[in-house]
Amino acid sequence: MVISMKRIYAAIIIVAVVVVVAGVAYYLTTLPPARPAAPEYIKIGWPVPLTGAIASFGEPDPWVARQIEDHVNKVMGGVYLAEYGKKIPIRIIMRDTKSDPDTASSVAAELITRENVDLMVVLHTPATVNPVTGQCERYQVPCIAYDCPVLSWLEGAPYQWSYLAFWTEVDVAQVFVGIWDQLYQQGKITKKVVAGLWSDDPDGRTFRDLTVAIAEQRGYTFVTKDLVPYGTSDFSTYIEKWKAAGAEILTGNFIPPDFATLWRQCREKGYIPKAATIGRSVLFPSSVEALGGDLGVGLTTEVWVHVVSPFKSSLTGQSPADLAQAYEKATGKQWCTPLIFSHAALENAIDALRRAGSLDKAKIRDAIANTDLDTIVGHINFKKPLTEVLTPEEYKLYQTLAPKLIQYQDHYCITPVIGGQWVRGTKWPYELEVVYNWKYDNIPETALVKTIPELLGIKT
Amino acid sequence: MVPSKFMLKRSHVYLIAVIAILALLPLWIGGFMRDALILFFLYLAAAEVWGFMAKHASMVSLGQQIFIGVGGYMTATLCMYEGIPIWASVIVSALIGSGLAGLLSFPLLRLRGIYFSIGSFLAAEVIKLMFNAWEYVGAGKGLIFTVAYGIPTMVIYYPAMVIALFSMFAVYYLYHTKLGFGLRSIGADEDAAASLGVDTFRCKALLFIFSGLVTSLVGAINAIHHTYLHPSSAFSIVWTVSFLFVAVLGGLGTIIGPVVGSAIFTALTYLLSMYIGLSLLLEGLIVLAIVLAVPEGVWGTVVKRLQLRARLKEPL
Repeated sequence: MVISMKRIYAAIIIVAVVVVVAGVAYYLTTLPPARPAAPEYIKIGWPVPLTGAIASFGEPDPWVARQIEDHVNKVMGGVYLAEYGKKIPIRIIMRDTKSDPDTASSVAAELITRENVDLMVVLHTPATVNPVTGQCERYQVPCIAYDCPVLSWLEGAPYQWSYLAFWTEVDVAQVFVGIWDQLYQQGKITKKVVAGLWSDDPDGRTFRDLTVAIAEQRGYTFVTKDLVPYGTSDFSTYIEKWKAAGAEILTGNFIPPDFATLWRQCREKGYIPKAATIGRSVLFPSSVEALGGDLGVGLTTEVWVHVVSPFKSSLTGQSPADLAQAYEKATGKQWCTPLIFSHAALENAIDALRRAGSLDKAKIRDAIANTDLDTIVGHINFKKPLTEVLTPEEYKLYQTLAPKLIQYQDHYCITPVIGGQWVRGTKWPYELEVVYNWKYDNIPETALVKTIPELLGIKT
Repeated sequence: MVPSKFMLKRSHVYLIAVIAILALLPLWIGGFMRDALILFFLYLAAAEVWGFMAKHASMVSLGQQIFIGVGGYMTATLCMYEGIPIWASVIVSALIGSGLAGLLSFPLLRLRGIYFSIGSFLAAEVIKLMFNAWEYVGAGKGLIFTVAYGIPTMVIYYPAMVIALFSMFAVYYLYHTKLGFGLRSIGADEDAAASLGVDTFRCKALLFIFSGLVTSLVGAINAIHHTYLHPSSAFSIVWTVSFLFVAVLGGLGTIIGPVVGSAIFTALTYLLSMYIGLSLLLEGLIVLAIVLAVPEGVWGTVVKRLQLRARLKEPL
């Protein structure tokens, strides 16, 4: 192959021109910009699972975003930023993660690089939160995360730019065992024998280890402590085992369709435990109704916040009950816990912006770190040491079961978790009663915990 | 008509210019375009190989996500748990991916046509379940690639670009090798090719291994780019469907086709992302409309309409 000198010259000239043009363009773009005028908006990025497997978590979010935007921009006239000496309205920019972690990553990067968001808010399960905080760490954008179990989030620690507020898995396991203790003390269960089964996935594995450890410490024994893969369709061998052992308590943590299969088979085979305390699958009224018939009656689960919780929004002054009522009135849908958490995350964001008084990312980050705010889901303070938050026994439990919780305590804040029970409702098909307030005496218990046969009217 | 020798040399000059522009581009485009271009390169790289396999060797694989997942997971674990430098991990994981492709060749390449497609999809599902239960890679917990936090997209851009160019050149080169001729004869009629002395298994296995290599590299870069891995996402069929879209949208069995396809696909992804809730629906409708309007793909139709075929060297 012969290449003439002419061609080589041509190639060199083209390359040289391109290099010069690129160099000049690069130089021009890196010139320090004149001091920016006040921006038109403060931009808050918010990736939300609006479609796909976990869409039920994100369902209230568009309403929440509109409510907060309206309140901040119309009622408050914007957020006062000292740097500019005036109030600036906010804009909440949402993106759909399609319930897929990879898409969550992409849209987070898009919000940062294309929309130039000033801070990020993210909620709803590790599948949404973990990839988004990852992008915030890369691009050094302050991030406020709520509604993601703390331990599974700390897999990505240490964090520089992200802060999380939610319950820890250790706390939920304690609440589960606490619900059974209540039944035992009332004499409604007589044997501390538990049937345990969990989905073979992150939450399933973590909750199995913690629930088993804590329950065994308190004298419970497990007939089974197995993990089942997604889509398991036949649980009959397990059910026979539980019946034979007389297990009065069923516990686990499943993806909703798998729990539905299991729970239907339990009923078909005549296995009705006194208590069924199930994580993740029966958090929302919609998933409880989807079980069909009266299968939802009496199920117990973790409750992150309830309409009776005595908290108040720092923005609108609403209590959880007020917010739930406004939501139900506006949308015709029953309230669910993510509604209240999404509101709280935005409260935290507005508070941090106000205190930062600037759109400088490091200043916003420091303001988040210094949060000391009463929100609609409880008091948020990331700096308070765990030794002040936990009793010495709980602290020891954290140390032995999940030392990461101690190690990275300065990037998360624990929110109260309590025990709830689904019962037939008056306004909605199912309503959630608070049956166990654990250590949070300020949250009233709305009913005594009952056994499932008791609620179904079955004599045992 | 210009003599072909002249064409070839002019095309070299064009090529150098294009590569120089691509290499300098990230210096002055914003972070968003950089991000979009990374995505563009990654889809392009994987779709080039997928298109060649599907069109010319009649291997319509529905299991390319195997390599996306393996490439990503191996890079993350080698780097975080074994202390291997990140870019060395990328290379090693690509080798692991191609080795896995070699192993999978034995069962999968015994299957032809639709059976190969189903077989490759099932293999991917099995591997997904294995990763879902494998404690070392975090099992169902997923894996947060913390080391990748510190890698800016400015840096990720270059390997992505190199992989895309490598894939394009390799596939172009493949057309003109003995292996390429063997594969295309297999695509035309596998039995006839075998009876003419083509070692069909060897040809197909080499192609599958090559696809494993390129796709694992894509998976590795994607993992660094997105910093979080989960079996359900890393081994999702959505990956292969996207490669299929890119190849078919642009024009199956051409080199330029996937470039056009990947540009359309990436642009659609970002343009539609603001239409929350409707984005999937709109994307589906637009892709459907394009495929119905131009069944040979955008580039394929351009070539046909403008009668470029005589002027373009096959298989551009």
